[in-house]
Amino acid sequence: MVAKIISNFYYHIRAILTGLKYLFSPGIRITLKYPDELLLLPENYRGMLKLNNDLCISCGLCSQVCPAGALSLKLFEYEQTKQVKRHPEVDYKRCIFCGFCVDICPSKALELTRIHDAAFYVRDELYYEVDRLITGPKIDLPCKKSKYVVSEIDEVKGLVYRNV
Amino acid sequence: MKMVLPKSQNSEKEIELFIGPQHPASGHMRFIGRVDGDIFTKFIPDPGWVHRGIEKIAENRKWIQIIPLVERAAILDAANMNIGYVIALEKLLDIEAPPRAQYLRTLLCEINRITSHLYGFGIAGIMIGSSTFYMWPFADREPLIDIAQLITGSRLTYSYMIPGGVRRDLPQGFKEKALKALKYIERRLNNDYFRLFFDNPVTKARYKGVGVLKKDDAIKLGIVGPNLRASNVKYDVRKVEPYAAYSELEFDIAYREEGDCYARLMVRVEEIRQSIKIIRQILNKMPQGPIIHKKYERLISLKKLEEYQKTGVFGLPAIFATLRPPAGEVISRVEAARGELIFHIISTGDLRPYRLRMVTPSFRNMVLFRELISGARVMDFPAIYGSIDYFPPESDR
Amino acid sequence: MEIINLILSMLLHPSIFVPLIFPGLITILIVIILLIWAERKIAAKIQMRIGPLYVTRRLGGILQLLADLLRYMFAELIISKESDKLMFIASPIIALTVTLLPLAVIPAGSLLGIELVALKTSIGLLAALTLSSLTPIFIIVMGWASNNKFALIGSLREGYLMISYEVPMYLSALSVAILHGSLDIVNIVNNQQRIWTALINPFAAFSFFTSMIMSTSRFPFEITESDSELVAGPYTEYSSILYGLVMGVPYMRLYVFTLLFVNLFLGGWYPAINGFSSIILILKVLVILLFSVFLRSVYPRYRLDQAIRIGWHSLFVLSLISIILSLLIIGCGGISGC
Repeated sequence: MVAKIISNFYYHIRAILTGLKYLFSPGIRITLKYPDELLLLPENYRGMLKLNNDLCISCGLCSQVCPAGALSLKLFEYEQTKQVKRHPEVDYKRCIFCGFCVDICPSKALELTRIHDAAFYVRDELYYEVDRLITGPKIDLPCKKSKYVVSEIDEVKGLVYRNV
Repeated sequence: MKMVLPKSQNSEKEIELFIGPQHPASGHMRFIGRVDGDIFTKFIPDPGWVHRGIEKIAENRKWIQIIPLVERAAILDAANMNIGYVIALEKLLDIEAPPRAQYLRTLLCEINRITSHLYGFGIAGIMIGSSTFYMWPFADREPLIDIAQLITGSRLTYSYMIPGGVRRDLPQGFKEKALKALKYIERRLNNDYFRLFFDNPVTKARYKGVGVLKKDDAIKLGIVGPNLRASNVKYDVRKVEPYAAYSELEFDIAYREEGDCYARLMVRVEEIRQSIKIIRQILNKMPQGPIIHKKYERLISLKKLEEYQKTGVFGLPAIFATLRPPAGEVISRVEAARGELIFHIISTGDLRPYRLRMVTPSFRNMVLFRELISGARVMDFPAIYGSIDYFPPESDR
Repeated sequence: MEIINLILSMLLHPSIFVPLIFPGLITILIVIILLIWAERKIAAKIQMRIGPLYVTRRLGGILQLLADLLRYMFAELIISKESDKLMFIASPIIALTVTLLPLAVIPAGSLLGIELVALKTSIGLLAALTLSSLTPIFIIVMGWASNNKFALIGSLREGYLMISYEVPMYLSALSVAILHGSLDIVNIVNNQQRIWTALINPFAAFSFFTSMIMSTSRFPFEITESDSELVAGPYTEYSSILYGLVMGVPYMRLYVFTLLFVNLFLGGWYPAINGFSSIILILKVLVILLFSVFLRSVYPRYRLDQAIRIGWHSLFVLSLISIILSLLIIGCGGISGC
């Protein structure tokens, strides 16, 4: 009975000391100070799409395999050569960023970028027509002081952000 | 059908409580209980608020389009849902993935098991009021999600496994980063979690002796997962019917004898330790070879052939857009993080399945609410809820 | 000129200075703003995140509570039709007023030669403790007036807890009064010039401290307003500025009790620098406040029957032991003798 009281007291003290250790040790933080720090996503991240129109053979496999029905093929007229071909268009309201279309394309015409911000002020801008898909997505920096950081795994602190 | 409680004898001194979906402790579901003083005399769950009709939607999608659909039933545990479906589909197509693909699948499944158990700890912590033990497991998931992002390209919605193999291979420098993340998780689990939460006398007072599930009741009610193993039943689908690479790896089944809430938490802690051991073995013993079945290697287009010979990765073969497996009926079982997951698929040789049925572990554990909480105190309800690790979207599909 | 002199002499008289400026209303408001900010920052530091940051960016988000109060004032005050409207609106206001009543008898040191106590009585300790027992009654009334099942369960819990922590608190204070031989708090503080009561009678200090944490809903005893089981206990139906008031009541109670605790057990304002002894008092009060608030990050919460069992099995027995210890020390010749 007395042993139980003493062992309980010891466990209470150990819990409080663990809390104090984390309170007074130098800063470990896992939050990202957005928008001052922007995370630079790694290279093989599945982000928004970009079309390489020289390689596209208009087979239509990408729109057949898309699980959400976001891709569709439309006729596109080139300005210089007046040639008309079929190229895919993306509707980002439906896209789930799974990457099946990129994987199944037999001529590697679609590729993934590292950009994931699909946020616009006007709803119609979410639908990327062929010419916007050829140029690809672009980002505006949210505020003037934003810098890019890269996240690294650390044994002691978990996750550390390093300036690029 | 409206869920109501049967009429009670002394309705004058009992309060009927609706712990509805707009409650901090209820998750996305509703409970109806009758309170007499400090004890619940009757308690029933009222599920169905997150029902999205996954099984019906699957009847209108092609076979390869069901892979992201089935994952989102329980997005925390995406790899295990994925592997259950893909193993069933491979049984229909009568192929088997090559050894390197099996090891890669097991790697992702075990990483997902650790993150799912850490999420369960977070919910258990906030249910009994410890906000530090809510933030710490969620923060400690971040290195592991980073690791999974290196393999698959996405943080939570992997869609990594396809019939015949996997989609991508390991990048350069993966092994060192994975070992660092595992060391971090191990140190945090064995030192800080025990000192702050699991050895805390307040936690032990809340969890020990509460919500006891005896061995015969557990078998009779059909409970699965760590809840079953905490009641002295040593059953794990990875040992009974090994799939993927589990037959070649060494690990123990975690089990406890008491059957109370503390035992369930300790079983999950032990499972995390075993998963770390499995991942270390995988990283050491990974065989070289192709990552997709030979039958699909012959279907690569000319433009991708040269990259395939250099790196071994080529994505999806074009046949998947119009895949027609032969007619038949298959069942597959895997061990998801919360228990045993069953897929039952009926195919008529068409582009779309005739019927897809998934029996999720949370759905089978839902009966524990009625059995364990009736007769318990009002303040035991969050403790029991946190310890059985119930995830409403997985149960409602 | 003479009017300004008159007003100044009225303001600086102890019976107006203590309840109004120091350590009364204005100090309490400043301390609460800093205390709630400190609670969130301490919890954030332990949990590896940042906490409030953006309100006054350069100072690290100190004025976050003012921004919150401003937002509460703009929210809509919803009073449900079936509640008891008069008591619904009146009980937070009365609870807040009644919480500050013990400040009339608690001394706060000496500032520029004036001894700071509002009402000099010979039964100050008894008056302070009795006045502090009024607040839980109004918390129970809040839960009843809301006409909500969750609020009713919350106020029942407050009633159960009130029975369990009052008795050890009174008994521990009694043991201090026996030890120092008087019920006047000024005499008790002056008697601790050489050694603190907490070092002589640690059982009384521990039992008073734990009863204090139980009465102001600090973790691990945050059972009344447990916000993961009952939605917010008796405070469920409150919105807008009344919500700001009811959230401030436990913190004000904590401040008043900490003042009493430091005066009884930690030597009050001694060792006194010549003329500015109140600063030492405020420093000690801040350390105890920050420790009480730090406990939020370490502990989960107890179950109701376990908390009541702790109140009666552990704290009651400890306070009885502390009375026996005080009697032994007195029989042995008092503090200066033993």
